[in-house]
Amino acid sequence: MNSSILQVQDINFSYDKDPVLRSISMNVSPGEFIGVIGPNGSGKSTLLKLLGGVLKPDSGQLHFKERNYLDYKQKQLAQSITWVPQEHPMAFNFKVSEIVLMGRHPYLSAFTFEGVDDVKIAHSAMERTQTLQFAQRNFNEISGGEKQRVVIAGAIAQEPELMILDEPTSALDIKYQIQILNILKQLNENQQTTIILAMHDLYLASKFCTRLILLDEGKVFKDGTTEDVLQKEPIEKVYGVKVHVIHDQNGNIIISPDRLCTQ
Amino acid sequence: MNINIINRKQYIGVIFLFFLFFLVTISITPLIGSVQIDLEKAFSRDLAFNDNVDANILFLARIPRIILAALTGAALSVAGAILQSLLRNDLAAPFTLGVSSGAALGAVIAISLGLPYSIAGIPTVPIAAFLGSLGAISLVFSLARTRTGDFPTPILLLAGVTANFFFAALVMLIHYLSDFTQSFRIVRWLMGGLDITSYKTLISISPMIFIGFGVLIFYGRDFNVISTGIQSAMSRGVEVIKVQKIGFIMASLLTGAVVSLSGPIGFVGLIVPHIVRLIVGPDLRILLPASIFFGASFLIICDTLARTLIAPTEIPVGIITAMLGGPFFVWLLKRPKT
Repeated sequence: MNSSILQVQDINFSYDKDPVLRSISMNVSPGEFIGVIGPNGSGKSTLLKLLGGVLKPDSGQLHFKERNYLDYKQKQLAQSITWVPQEHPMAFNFKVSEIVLMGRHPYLSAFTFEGVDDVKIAHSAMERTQTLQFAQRNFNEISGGEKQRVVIAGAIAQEPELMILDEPTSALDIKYQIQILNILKQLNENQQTTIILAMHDLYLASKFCTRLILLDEGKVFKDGTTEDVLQKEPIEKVYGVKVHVIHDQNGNIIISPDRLCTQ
Repeated sequence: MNINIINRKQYIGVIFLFFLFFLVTISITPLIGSVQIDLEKAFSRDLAFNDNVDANILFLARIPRIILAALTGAALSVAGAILQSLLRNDLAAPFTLGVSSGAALGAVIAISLGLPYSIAGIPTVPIAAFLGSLGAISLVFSLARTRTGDFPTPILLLAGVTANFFFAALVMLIHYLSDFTQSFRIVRWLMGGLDITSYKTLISISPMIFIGFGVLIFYGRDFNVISTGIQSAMSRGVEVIKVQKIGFIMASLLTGAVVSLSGPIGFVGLIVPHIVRLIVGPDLRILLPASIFFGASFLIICDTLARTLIAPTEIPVGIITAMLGGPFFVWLLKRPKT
């Protein structure tokens, strides 16, 4: 219990009157790489927003390092936890470097300019995400995969201990998906940053995550190692499709839907 | 490639250029007008002030009018820039969102109650206009916000149109019910214009305006982060609710203060932030101070045109800004989005 970085106790959340999350509890240890999976509308995005501190639960408690989220100032929490949305609509033509530097916001007091150290940190974050080559371009003019990397660079510049990402790979082609996941993996291995991300691709989830949380209609259906969760019975039950779970000779877990027929 | 960020020196340099432009504008425009004035005579001490026609025109007609144009242009531009950033929509402005109409309603209520412009140093009409603006912003905000905290353009504009109609109807009702003297004051005021002013009224609205500028510039970086998205901003450590409230209150304060004096002058708050953003980029730490000087200069120039285009007849300055602003607004709506 003491070793956990994040404790979630019995949280509930509803939009208007529709319950979206129902009595969710979990503990996260430092350095974990957790995938949150589940069908559309199962509450993945909402759960991540609650974990990221951008939504407040209706009931239940969230603790980061044994301290209630509510006891942190917004900036303090932002120095430890960052949340990366799925889409990045930008109303104005901020440059890529300006977006990344916004990651330094929690460390700066009002009306100060970013200093040399902030630029260094942003620079190294951009190096790691291979975004330096378009540092001076407008964020609105780069491709979806590039945008995702830029926003992750901003999140890295925030130097969080816990990084939460909402489907960072869903809108991308396979090359960019791997690229993003590798960036996160390196961050996880080199910086011991704890990663929690929502994913749709179960195969990629199995390749990168050490733990999976399967959501079903706002409840945790199964929480465990990838091998535990990626089994025929829970997947068929939650997604409502017939599948074969294939373990190949290289240790890959492949979920193969059965001829497109639903249950 | 290196990251270029703006440092303090460049920052002051950019703002200084805008300040220079403003300085040139306010030095030249007092000399332009339907009557040619002689500066030497205006400053001469040989004549009593009351007999010195040149001095009277310069100090009692043109200069206060130019100061009011400067304050109005600057305040509406800054209010526009803040509304655009808070609503993450570049079609937002005091005029398009009905905030000016809200201010007009507040002012008309104060006028029809027969309140003097200020009581014991408290500017009553500006404060009534401020409350009207705040009411309009709250209305538009709650009408146009979606569950995800976005403000889609069509809904935002419809909310603005709704607010405009609603407040205009209430203004008409008050106008209809008021007696002849009040009615005349209301009509005169509703036409908008920068010609009715004295140094005393200018001084009475100045604190509201300078507090607005100071507070908004102070929170510049927070507004920057909010303009990238409400929830992202929370995750970057911005106290979004607090900063939004401050932004809306200060934008209302600015709009109320100047609308109470000059009447509803449209489109300044839409055009100026756009032009300045094209020059200096969207960073509000620079955009706001630059908009102050550019907005001031812009309205002074529009007003100089209003005074001189068909001199000796004056056109209300709101007509000039609307003639520029209407086509500009259409261009903004139709331009290809990147």
